[in-house]
Amino acid sequence: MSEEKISIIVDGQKILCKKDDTYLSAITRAGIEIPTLCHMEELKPSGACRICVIEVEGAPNLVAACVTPVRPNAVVTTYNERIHRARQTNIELLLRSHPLNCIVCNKNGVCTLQKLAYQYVPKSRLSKLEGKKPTTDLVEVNEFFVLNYSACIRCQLCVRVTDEIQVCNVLSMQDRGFDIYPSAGFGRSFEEAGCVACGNCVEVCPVGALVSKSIKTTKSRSYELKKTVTTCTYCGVGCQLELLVDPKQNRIVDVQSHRDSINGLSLCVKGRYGWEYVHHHDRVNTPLIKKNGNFVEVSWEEAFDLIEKRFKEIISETGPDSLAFLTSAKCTNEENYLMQKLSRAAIGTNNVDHCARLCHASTVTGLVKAFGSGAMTNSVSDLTNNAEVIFIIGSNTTEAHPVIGIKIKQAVRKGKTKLIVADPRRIELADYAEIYMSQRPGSDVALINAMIKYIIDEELYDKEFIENRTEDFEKLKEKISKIDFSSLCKIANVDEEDVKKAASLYATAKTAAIVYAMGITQHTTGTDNVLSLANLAMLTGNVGKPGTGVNPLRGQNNVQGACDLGGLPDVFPGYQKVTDEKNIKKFKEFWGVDKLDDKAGLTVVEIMNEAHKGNIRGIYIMGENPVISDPNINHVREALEKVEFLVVQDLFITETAKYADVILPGQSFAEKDGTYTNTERRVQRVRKAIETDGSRLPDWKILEIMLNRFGIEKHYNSPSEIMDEIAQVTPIYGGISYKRVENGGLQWPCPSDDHPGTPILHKDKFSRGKGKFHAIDYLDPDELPDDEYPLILTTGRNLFHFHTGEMTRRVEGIHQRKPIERSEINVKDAKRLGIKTGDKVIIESRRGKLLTEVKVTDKIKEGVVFMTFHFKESAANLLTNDALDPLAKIPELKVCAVKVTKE
Amino acid sequence: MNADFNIDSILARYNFDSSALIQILSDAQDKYGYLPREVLEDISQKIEVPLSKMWGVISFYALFKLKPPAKYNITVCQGTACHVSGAKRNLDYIESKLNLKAGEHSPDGKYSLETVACIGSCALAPTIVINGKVYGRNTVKTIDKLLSGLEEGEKNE
Repeated sequence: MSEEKISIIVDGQKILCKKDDTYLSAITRAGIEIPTLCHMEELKPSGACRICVIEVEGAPNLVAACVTPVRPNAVVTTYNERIHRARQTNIELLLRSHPLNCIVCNKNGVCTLQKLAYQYVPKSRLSKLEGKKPTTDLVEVNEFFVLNYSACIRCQLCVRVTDEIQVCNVLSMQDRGFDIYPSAGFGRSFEEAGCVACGNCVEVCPVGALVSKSIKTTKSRSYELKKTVTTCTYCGVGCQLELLVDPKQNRIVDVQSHRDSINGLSLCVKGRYGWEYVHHHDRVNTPLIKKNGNFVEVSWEEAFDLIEKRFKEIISETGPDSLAFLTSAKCTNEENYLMQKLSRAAIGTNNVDHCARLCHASTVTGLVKAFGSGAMTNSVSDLTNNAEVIFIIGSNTTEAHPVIGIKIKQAVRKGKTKLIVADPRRIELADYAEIYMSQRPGSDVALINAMIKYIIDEELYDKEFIENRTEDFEKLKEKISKIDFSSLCKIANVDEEDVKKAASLYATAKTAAIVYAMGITQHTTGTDNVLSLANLAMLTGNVGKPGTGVNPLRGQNNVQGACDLGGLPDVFPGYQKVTDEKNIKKFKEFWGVDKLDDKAGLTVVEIMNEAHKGNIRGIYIMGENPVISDPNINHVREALEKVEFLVVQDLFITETAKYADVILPGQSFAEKDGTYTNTERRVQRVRKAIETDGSRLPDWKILEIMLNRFGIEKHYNSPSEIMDEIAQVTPIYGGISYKRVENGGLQWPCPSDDHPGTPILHKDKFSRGKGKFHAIDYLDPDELPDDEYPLILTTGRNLFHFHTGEMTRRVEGIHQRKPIERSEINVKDAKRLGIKTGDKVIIESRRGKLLTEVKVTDKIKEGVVFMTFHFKESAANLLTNDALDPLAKIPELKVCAVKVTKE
Repeated sequence: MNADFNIDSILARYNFDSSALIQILSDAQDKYGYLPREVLEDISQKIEVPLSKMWGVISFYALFKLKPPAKYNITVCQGTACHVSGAKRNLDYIESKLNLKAGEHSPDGKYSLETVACIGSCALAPTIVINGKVYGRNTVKTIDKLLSGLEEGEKNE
């Protein structure tokens, strides 16, 4: 390459450089080490510590390698007596204003300052050095970490991380001279200054100034901790973590990010601090059977015997279709595969589904209809590096997918990307947006159709792409020509000019991506919403290229994998239809069974409805909590009460498990091996970090035993063998093996052993051949506000908690930070109802009512109330509507009519 | 937002340019006598500089004040010339007289006391500045006179 032409001579050796190299970047790339204290590859260089000084011929003084651009043909020395002395002086100066109480410091042995001091300062001097008198003067103590300011060496890495990586700007250096230290300013705590407790500043601190609270309890030195690289178990981003385990206690004591991964340096509060539940005393340790209304500890043998006996009775009485299986978006790919194998091959029913039904069923249905494949079309890094415009609709990215959220913020900050945000709430990303539109909940089709209409009318569409790659454009055009732009905007309650600006920005960008989540999918018109977004993307040619696409962000760590591996009632693993003769024959032969159910089974909400009617008599639920997560909870509770035999496999006695006849103790992500597939279709490893307590078995082992009990004699020595079986029968996973996903994972489709994986779908051709336009009419939500229930309730997530809260609410720090639900209501509505922040209110819908604390805010649209669904004490799903999208069978969790009264 | 705290005219002077932060803060302080939190928040939003970054600048420069000024702001120079001619003694005397430590405001808001490294009027050493006016060649006696003069002024108001 032409830019490689610059060269320098380093320690007598010629090194090629890039044009924008600094001495440090060029020299370290060549494998020569230069010590630093304040430098980090991901951050802009600052030149604060002067440890990286080197000698450049012709320069009167030593230069700081990190901030000095390379000069062609420069002759450089990286180490000599003069350099040693300079570094030694700087290190000694730092040591004099640093407490030398290394024996009590958590960073002992892994501290960069300590390491450099040992290397550069003669031992005779070191032993006589007097450091700063250690103080317990803590500037910041919060639920997750402490900042001990006397240990700070003023490298400013923490300040720069909050600014450049996390883009939260919590910190700056306070005061001047010797007394300078990182501070949130104005006497504020970090939280008051907007800290989201990601702990990224803690991770980069080279000394013991910023330290996680959890590591203070360890009995092992930091260098004795066992490090295990694994995948985070919360949202669908799939961040790579390093779990640090104290081998003396068999406990996780801290978490670091695995920097060579999709998340890079970043983690969120859940990933870094949300692991305490693994060691929680509420964990189920042995199988439990309900006897006379109480759970009694039993042996595995007894539990399996009972399940076998009861399931076989039910099958012999009313057939296999009276049983249903809920597999789990929290469990591994291997476990999901075995669960559906249990249901299909061993029991003989397609009644297997999971909570993807509640989040992205409409994505799968919609995108399969339009494109032929129901997953995120592009990759995360691709979005944040290559998209000129990102249109975010119905995704509160910074709270629900925090690490993608901050990468989007970084892209905007760097001026690479412009944002269009559409959300009924003024979410954080709205502050970074060129255009923010606050549409009425449930009016997405109207908003998107308005954008489409403007693009067609102004002829901003990509004629060539439409011509070559798509079909049915005329149908869309005809439909759109009959609709009036202004009335669409009126339905969505958005400003016409904003819609025009947004449409033209999206359509005229070279690369524009759509990012969406549950704000689009959880509607009775969920499939229509998704089809409309697909229309918009195809209309402008924004599919199949870097920085474009239609990108649903998946909510759970392995919801993508659970779908991929057949945790859906209508498909075998790899989305192979259960109604197709060829597929049935293939799986019959492969699994060695005589018969497979050839009709699609029941979906989650249908399973509950049929249970309510008495048609589903037994349910096996693995790692799901429908009593909190499903709409219309009262109905779910009644259904579960009616079920004759309920098996729940979980970590805790969840609200759902309370209804169980048998509880089987599962293992958490830290106790077992496996793989998860993240939102960008990347299959990544989950690795065992700690030994399990009690007599818990890995979930895949439990399922293997269940399979054996129901006539499938197959034994697996490890999850890796299960993956090998998956690869044989699932074309999109055909080339996936543990060996290949060891480092960095692989993105499906990956059909063969030599296939490199697929970062971008539909590149030259859509999965279904041609992309298909669908003419979509706007339809009202199932339930609209009226005189009796005048407000709209919409639900969502909070950064700190996850899903039904079974995990995050058992994390002490998170619980302290967010102990209860605080529902949001608009200032004007609150005034009318006489409500102020902190009041207790009753929210009531046609299906139930609850008590909750309320927060009054102008960040939510008038007439709309917002709740998260994390808290069982005020479970939002008591209120939500279980009306279904007719195609995807996803319930309308995002819109229902409620009334609010002061307690 | 208090209507009194309209900062736009100052920001407009600098085209709402964030690189003029120090001048903007300085002008704002001239206008209000100190830097009220509301003003800082307003500036932060309008020139898109995070509050934490402004804090870094404000806490770096002794010039910037976050508290409303006292009625009489007394600055005692501690520069070399003043130091050798009795600045320390003068400071101790004022501290005991007003029952105030350097860097503090009196509870009644009447006096604030601070030190400065050098005001550049070394010929007049040791110097004291009261509300911007420089007084030279100070001794305990002249200080007594100055302070009682301030008290007199109070009575006549």
